[in-house]
Amino acid sequence: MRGPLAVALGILTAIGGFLDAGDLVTNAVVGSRFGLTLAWVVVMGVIGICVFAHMSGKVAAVSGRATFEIIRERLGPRAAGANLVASLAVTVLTLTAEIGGMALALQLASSVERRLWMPVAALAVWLVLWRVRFQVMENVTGLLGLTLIGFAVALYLLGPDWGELARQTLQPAVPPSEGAAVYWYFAIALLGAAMTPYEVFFFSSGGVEERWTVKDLATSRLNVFVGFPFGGVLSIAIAGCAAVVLLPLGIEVDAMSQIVLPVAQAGGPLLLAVVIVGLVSATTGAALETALSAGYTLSQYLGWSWGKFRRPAEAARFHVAMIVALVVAVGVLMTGVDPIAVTEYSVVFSAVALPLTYLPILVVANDPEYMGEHVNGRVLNAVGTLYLVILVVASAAAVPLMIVTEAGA
Amino acid sequence: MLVGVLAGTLTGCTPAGTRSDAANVLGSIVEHLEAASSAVATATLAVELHEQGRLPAVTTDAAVDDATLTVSEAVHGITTVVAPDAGTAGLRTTAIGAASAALGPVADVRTWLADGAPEGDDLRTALDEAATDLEAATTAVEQAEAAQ
Repeated sequence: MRGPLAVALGILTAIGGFLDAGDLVTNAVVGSRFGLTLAWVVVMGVIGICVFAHMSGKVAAVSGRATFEIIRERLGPRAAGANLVASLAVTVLTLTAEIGGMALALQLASSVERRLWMPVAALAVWLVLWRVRFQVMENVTGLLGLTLIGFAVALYLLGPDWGELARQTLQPAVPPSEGAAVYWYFAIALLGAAMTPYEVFFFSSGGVEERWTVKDLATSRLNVFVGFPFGGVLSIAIAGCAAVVLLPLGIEVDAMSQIVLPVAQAGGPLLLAVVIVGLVSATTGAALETALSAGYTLSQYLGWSWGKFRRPAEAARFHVAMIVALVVAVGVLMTGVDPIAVTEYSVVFSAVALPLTYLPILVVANDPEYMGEHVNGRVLNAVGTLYLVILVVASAAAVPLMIVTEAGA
Repeated sequence: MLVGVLAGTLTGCTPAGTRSDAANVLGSIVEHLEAASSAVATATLAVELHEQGRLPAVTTDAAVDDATLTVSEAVHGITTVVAPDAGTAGLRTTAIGAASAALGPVADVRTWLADGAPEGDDLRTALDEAATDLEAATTAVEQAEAAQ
């Protein structure tokens, strides 16, 4: 597929594929406790992920190689190994959250207990990874994920006081019922949710899977700089729905079932059904991406044959790595741990690992040996460096704030 | 960093029951009561939306299942905190009473979904009473916490 249709499809897929369990849960939790006073963090996170996903995509398109392969070559096995351990741990934790999210979303449509859905969800993910082509997988989950626009429709139908929502967004302040430490803890969680490390590794490896070249740079840029911000708008809509319906009733979100109540109130069963399809698609898409990211990072570090463009028999260790990640995820979930709690921890630990993920990308994107004339310009470097400073501060503050606030209690 | 992360996880996961000074115990009880209140409000909203035909039975059931779990965890959480003195123990007993009393009406919603009993009005009244009792218990504990 070429031309405007391909561009439109890429943008729509980027919007629909932007949200994952971390975004869904964190935005709803924040909306139900802080209204839209933390919407600025979503905006900041979206700009950050746009900048680094663009760099990562550029590295893949120009060099024809995935970012992690180059990181190992450029920084050496020790530094890249530290990066691998942190990224892989957070990615598997995120995969656990996504499988749990799939089960919770399916429970909403069936009332069947979540633990019965968990192995089914993991098996479905494995079957797709095993049998379905990369582009089909990306497009189907991304386009179905677009149904999460239902949250924006719901917010409109709820007829909120737009002036009040705008005031919360533009003049953010810590609500009287919450402490400053809790506010900043959730700010870091939102940043971690928006800039999850797996996203950039998936984005660059996906570029190799789809055989991007320098000619595809414009399309990649459009996907990122148009698609992701619209995804961010959906994040804010989720927080807005919770702020309008749940916050006044004193409902603090601690379950997936609470996230959809404002949608039901606004649009009834039809809109609810549309949004549940979106929840299943978003979590399934993210589960596929995180499982692939686990396989990509491990294979690229160890020099194994990787990629869905190869037959499974030609990339056996890559597929085994994904299966092991899925088994670990289901194993953790079957202990009875709360999937929402796993999701909340996954976004905070994502924030802790962010500098380790993003610094090497900035280094590689400035290396003329790999990038030639496509090295970063001054503006991109300035923004990238500013974000790295912010990420280092957020990473350093995440664990102390988690201790002080008892994980945002 | 790894050590910091592990220490943070362990501390962050520390159960409230291990905090034994009065202020922390009262703070912990308030957190559990607020969680129970949130769950009762969730069940009430789910019932209203279901009666209006906006929320299908399967999704209402999932929401109430989660709410029941939250209330029962709140009861367990309050029951297992170690009260350091008689005054705190008295407030804990009040809190246990309010949270335990909420469990019945929330659990009844699933029965109501299955066969329509108790009547919708009776169910809503029971949920409202549970919410009021929880609010009163929360206020009492918060006042004691502020006096510490």
